[in-house]
Amino acid sequence: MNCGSEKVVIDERSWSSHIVVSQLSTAVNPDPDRRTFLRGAIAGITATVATLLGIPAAWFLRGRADASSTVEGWVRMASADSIVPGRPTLVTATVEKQQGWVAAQSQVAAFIKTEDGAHFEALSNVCTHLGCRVTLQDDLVEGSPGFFCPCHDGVFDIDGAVVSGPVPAPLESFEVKVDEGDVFVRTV
Amino acid sequence: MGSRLGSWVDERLGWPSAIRRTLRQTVPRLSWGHVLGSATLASLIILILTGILLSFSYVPSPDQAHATVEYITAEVPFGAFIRNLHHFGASALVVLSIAHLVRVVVHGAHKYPREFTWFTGVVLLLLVFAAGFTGSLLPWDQNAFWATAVRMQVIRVIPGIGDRLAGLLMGGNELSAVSLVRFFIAHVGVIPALIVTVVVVHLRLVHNHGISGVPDRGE
Ligand code: FES
Repeated sequence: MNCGSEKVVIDERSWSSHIVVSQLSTAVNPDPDRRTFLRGAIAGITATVATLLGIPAAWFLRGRADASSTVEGWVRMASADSIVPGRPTLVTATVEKQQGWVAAQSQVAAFIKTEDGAHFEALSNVCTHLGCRVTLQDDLVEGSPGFFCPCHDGVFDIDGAVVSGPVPAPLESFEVKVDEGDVFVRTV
Repeated sequence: MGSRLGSWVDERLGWPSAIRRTLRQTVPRLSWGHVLGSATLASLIILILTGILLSFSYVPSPDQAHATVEYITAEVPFGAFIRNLHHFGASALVVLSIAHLVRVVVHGAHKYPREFTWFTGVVLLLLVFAAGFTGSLLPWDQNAFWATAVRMQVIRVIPGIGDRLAGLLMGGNELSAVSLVRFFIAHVGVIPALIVTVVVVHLRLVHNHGISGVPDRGE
């Protein structure tokens, strides 16, 4: 069909790649169907390949973003006798958690308290404002002990309830169980 | 509206008319062998894209490299697909490059005035080999390690500079953490940059000279 060697006259001022192709096909090409078909085929194949690559690529980059990064299940924190009744005790435990391809060591901490040595409660030591660590201080809330956050002077009472400062919510409490003399905490 | 936008862009960037010139290019008699250059370019593009993806989850350190590759293959969604696309795409690139080279020789397309196009093509082939050579160490499994160790022995045999060249590549006397980082940076940084640069020159030259057709009898 030898269309390449024919002289093609196109108005230089009005064109986009789109228009040129259609002008070419109607003005010079004796066989417009073939050109239209090829154009469609090229666009179709390109779109198919782009989709076949693009969708896996997006999922690949998203990776395991849905995987929970917290430690799941029960974590042994301390033996029940080591918790002195009446006063919250900060205990920590090291757990292993999978971060991508790395088995990382991670610290779990909680204030554990009991009144009678049989029933236990556990409070997070993470401030609900911006995540600093709170400490137990005597004489904090009207003469009795409470939790103090040094970052912006947040104050919680002994049960974790908000007393003063910018803290928006009480300290998080964890589920606790005692099994064969050991205190376990569920951190999820 | 479309044409106004078209000429606005064209006056400033010159792109639409470049596309138009390509579309209106007069081409000589061609053969199916002429698609091999574009096929080579397509596999190069796939390798660059999948390579970028893989590098998001790869750590070039002896204690983590293999774990990250396992993680990509077993854990990341479509990880095995992307990795295999890179793996087999690399083989395809080598095969297609050589087929392209053979096609050019058979049609005599490397001769005047296209010597420099041919020269850049040969440089590209060497760079492709270098990319394959450095990339094959990165999975850091037994196969990758020992295959590279053997290739290093081969390099040592080069008279005069062999030992020094092997030492330079490995960053020492044996394959180690130092070598792995060197191979990684060569594979993902230095070699791709060179390949892309030379490909641009190569394509520019192809465009300047026009495509060389199938020669006629007696030509
Ligand atoms: S982080 Fe605790 S008060 Fe702001």
